[in-house]
Amino acid sequence: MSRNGILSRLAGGSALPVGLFFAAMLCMPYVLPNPYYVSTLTLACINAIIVVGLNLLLGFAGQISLGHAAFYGIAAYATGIATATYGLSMGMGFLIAVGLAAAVALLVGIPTLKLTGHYLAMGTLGFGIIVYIFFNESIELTGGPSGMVGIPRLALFGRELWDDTEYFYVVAAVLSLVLLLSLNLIRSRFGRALMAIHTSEKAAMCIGVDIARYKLFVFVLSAIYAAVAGFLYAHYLGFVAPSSFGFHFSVQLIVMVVVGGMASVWGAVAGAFFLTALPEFLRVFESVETLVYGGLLVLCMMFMPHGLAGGLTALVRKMRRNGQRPTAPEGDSHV
Amino acid sequence: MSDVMPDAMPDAMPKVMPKVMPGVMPDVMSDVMLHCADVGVRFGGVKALDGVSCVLVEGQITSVIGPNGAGKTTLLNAFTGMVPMTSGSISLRGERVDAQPPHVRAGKGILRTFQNLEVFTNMTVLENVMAGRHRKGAYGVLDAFFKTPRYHREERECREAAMRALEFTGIAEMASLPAGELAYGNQRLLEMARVIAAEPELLLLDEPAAGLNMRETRELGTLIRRMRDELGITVALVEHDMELVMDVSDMIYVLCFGELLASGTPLEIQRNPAVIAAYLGTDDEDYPDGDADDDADDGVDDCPAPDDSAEETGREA
Repeated sequence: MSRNGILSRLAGGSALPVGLFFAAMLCMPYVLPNPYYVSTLTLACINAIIVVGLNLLLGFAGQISLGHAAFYGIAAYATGIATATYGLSMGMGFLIAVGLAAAVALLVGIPTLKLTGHYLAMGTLGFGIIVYIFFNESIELTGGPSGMVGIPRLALFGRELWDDTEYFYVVAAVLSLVLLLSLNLIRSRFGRALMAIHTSEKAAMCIGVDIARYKLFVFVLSAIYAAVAGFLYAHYLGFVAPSSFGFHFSVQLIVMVVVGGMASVWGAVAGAFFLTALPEFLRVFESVETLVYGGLLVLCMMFMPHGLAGGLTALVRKMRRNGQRPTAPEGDSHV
Repeated sequence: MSDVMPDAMPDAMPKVMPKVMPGVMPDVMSDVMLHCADVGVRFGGVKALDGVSCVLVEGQITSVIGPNGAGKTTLLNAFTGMVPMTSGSISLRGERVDAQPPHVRAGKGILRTFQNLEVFTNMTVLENVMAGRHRKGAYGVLDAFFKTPRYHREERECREAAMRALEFTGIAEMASLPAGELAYGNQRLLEMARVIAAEPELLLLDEPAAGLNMRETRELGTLIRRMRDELGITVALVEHDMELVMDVSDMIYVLCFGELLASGTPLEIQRNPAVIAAYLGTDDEDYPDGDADDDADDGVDDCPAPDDSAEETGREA
């Protein structure tokens, strides 16, 4: 495959796993028992795009955002308004959606990222709530609480992708690209700088990292990821409503990062897939569904404090060490 | 020096630097790495540093010593820009740097290690050292996203430089371990490797022997000397372990309650009556209200070595 050849030269180590992931995704529509699961998986992939970005911010750079649903929503509404209300092209909608989210992230990020810890959480939380109120109240623009209808289906090369399987392939391809870029980024001086900021801002500063700039960069980047997801979401459902972009979803995104595994790109995917699909499997519990959901999260955090990715890595390491020498590894218990 | 001026003028200067007075640049700039003149730092009403002038000569190991709360770490922090100065100037190779933020100064080659280890525990040992070389990297975000040939070339250079630094400090075989799993002494060596990989112009070591045992401290002394002799690094050392200081230093500055008490070669310092008085506690009335001058920069600054390791773990948690 010439495409794989080019990719591997471009991407080195990350191309193979991402290629395998994409191949697995291509097989999914044939494996899954019915089309409903394909649409769930499509939403899982869309969520994964946001969560990969949020993990760059939270897991790698250590900066929390409780308002990431806002960027997702801004992009979804922006492309919806551009294409449905003003009849602009899909490409314009994409540029406006991503551009607007990035610009808002830049404006919000400059003052907010001066805050740390709880204050940063409060700041971004406030931002998310303001945007949520805006979606609800500016009725002529967004349609208010009842939402906005008539957003056209995504069209590629002049062809509208009405087939859910086709749409899933597009979303899976975008997610794969996002994964590849993110894996490349964290294996560079930028990724190391972000991780340095996470552990010690003092030390990061003293190796020459411009902390304010890097924080802003990763904040805007994660907002762009969320915007791409918002664009795909709006043109998938054809309908957006404020309730999809509220505080609850922002928290869900954080939970996906944490359950998946902080500072793991693949963990982000695992977390998004797991938590998007989980409610579908918990339907059988009917009225106690939410209880079981909560209980599972607690169990996850108790037995895999480093998330799904961390749990798997620890398991593999343990097995490997057991194979080599019997000494018990230390350091798995902290945090 | 002490023989010439037995009553210990605080501004006693060694012969290497003829005219270093507050606000006055020395005649010969070529071999001066860092020149600070009349540096003052205040924390609220407390004078942490007052009119400190000193010169760090290129290729030399210069130590800053003094009793607890003398302002040694504050001086290092003023060099790196981590505390704002209320007066004075700092120049690196004749260029004023005192208005620049820490990361810019680090970019110009002023690098430091920390009294309380600041190892990046979320990375491997090798990644720590590669992160330390941040200032040498030049490729952009797009190079990283798309792994351009430039990315590959620079990353390879970075990796090689990091491995060389790890070999230099003797912990190369731990390169792939998570940095947090290293023993305390090795984490110290890792911090050393991290700054060595950055090819510093001036390396500031803040109590590198804190928490090390006698053997490790001796090895540290050897390492610091090798950094000067083999890598040509200019070193500024803040340290309580007098044996180490006297062993490695080319030049020593003595701070006492934020002011320069004396300066000279190790031999001169050892014979300086003012220094002896400051360390042995006689002549107290010359330096009143000592506790008010305790460094406010780090909270745990200038404690004796055993306490530091305890504080360190406390802070990390």
